[in-house]
Amino acid sequence: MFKETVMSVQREIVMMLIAILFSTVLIGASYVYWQSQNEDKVLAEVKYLQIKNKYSTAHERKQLIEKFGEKFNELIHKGVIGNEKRFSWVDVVESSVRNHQISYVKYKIDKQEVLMDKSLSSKYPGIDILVSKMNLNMQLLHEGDLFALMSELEYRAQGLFDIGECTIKRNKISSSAALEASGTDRNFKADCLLNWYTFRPKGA
Amino acid sequence: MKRVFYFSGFTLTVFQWHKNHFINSYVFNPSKDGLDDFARYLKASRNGPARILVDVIEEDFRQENIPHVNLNDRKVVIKRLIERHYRKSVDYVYHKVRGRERSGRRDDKLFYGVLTNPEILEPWLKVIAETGTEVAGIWSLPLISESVVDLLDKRQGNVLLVSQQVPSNLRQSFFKDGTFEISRSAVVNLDEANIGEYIAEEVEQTSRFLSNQRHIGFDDKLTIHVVCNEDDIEIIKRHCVDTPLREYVYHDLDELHEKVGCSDIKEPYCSGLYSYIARKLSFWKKHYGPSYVFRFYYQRLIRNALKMGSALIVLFSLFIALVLYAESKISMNEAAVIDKQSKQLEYKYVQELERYESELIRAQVMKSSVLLAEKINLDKAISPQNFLISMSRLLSDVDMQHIRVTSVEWKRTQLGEAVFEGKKQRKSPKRAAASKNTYQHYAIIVGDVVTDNSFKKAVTEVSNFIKLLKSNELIQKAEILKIPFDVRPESSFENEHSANDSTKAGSNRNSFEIRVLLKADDHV
Repeated sequence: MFKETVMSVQREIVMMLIAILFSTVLIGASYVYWQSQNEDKVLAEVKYLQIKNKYSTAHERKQLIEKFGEKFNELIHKGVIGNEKRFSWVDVVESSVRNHQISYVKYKIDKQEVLMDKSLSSKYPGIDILVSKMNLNMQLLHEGDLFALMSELEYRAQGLFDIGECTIKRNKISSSAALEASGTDRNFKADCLLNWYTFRPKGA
Repeated sequence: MKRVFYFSGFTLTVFQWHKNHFINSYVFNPSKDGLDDFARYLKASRNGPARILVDVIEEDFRQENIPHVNLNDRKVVIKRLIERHYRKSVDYVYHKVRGRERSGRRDDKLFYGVLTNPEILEPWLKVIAETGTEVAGIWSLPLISESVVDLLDKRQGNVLLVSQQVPSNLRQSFFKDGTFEISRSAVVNLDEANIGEYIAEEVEQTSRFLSNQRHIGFDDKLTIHVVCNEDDIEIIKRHCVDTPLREYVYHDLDELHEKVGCSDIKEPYCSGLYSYIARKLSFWKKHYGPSYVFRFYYQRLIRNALKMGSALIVLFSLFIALVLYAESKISMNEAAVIDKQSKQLEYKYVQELERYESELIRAQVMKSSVLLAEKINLDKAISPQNFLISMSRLLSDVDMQHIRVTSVEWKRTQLGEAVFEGKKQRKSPKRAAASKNTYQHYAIIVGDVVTDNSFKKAVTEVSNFIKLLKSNELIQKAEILKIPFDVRPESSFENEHSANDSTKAGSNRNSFEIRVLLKADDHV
């Protein structure tokens, strides 16, 4: 009976198979077409986003340049960007010694080093920070000579520095020397550590 | 077109219906010629599904109690029950469980109807099978007569429905509160007596039978509903007299035809009415018949289902294809719009910004350089110069004339460093530059107290100096590292006296050492 039933509905089974085949082909073809159109759309979106990012990044950079360009040029002029100007520092120290008649100055500049610090890199991206340490040992008439030297370095030397540490000591002077009319030009001894900073574009 | 084959036990009448309208009817005798005519008719007519309605004397209706078991077991129980009583009629059994007993084992109340002599149907079924006629089902006329009782709107009490489907038979079906219980068919010969006499006699016999079988009590009232021609009502009334326990109600067949909506049928007996009711019965509610009888109908259902399925698949795929096509078009339009926007933006970029491209690359370098330089310059406000100026102001106080500072060691460090716990850590420049507003600076002040050899006075001078330092709002903390005469238990102390010099405690006996921490935020 089952066989008879199957035989009797044979035509309809074939029809259904054809319908399934037709539907599969139709849906498959439609899907492929839809997918290709969708891919085109996605590509167009990606391209648009790229251009948009490029534009907005460039726009932001332009604003940054407008904001920081002038100060950056000042830094270039001051020798903070690019190669450090050691000659300028030495020149200022030498001239200050002469101008303020500092009796004794000894200075030592260490080898320039790159600061390798992740937090610095993330906070100030795009630049390498280089530092040169300068040790200054001085014999001074009074403490004002130290500050005069620092001021001259600040305003005349090409570069950017800060003072890491500084010690001023009163020298022991014998009573006879102290009583001499001429006195002494070595009342104080000062030892200071200066950090000279230079920036350059990363990898330059 | 719908066809109902009404089988009276002898002749077979074909009723043809189109929608609700009666078209015509054909009567076939069980003779060879009759069967040949029937076969010819089936071959000639359109093969629409037929419904067979049997109205035969050889039909039993019973109600028995069977144990309450699950569905599969119940089927086995019923099969055994039928095989025990009606071995030949296994395929011609209708059964229904009508509730359960209220006491005892609470058995199921099983009602069943059986065609006791199915062989009388076989010549007809053979022709039907040979012609490939589709049969939707075989129904028992008494069992579907509940519909007629519903039509009469008499569902309450004991109802005996009396009707004549063919001239030679009189059917009496008993209903209790609208539920069919039993039916019997009697042969009548209208040549010997009129229908009234037959009905009166048969009703009396049936009443006694119902009482004996306890379908009704001896003093229960029985309402007899007689469905007949208008012409016969008066004849019947003459023989059927109402009593306190018997009440006759008469229904004109034409009125019923009109009531159900088949007034165009002009049959003198009730077979037309029943065929009208049977024309719409669902095949899954059929009463009798082996499955092979219905195979052509099943094949038709499967064919229709496959066709319907094929159509639905095609329609569904067309729908999906249309949706995908529409989505594709939308995507295409959107892509075109986005592409246009991209070109506009690119043009804007070329017009406004492209010429700065080489400079723009340096923007981040500029920003970082400027910000870092500003940070370093800001931190430079903390310098030994400023600190020493503050110190000078303190020492210029008139009460501090005996204090002579010999050495100042200044250091800049970061907050959190254990400067005062003696763990001096030299801060690397990179850490210092990286931090923001976290600098502090401290100094170690070394000096002498210019006084006579009084320890007490020297200590007092240093203590006053410390107090002055602490009271200064710029100084965060001041700590004595060394005083001229350290009287603290944890310190050691020695001194020497001689005739020439009262005290010899060393050349620096009045010296002191103080560590001072200044508030960095104020950029002192």
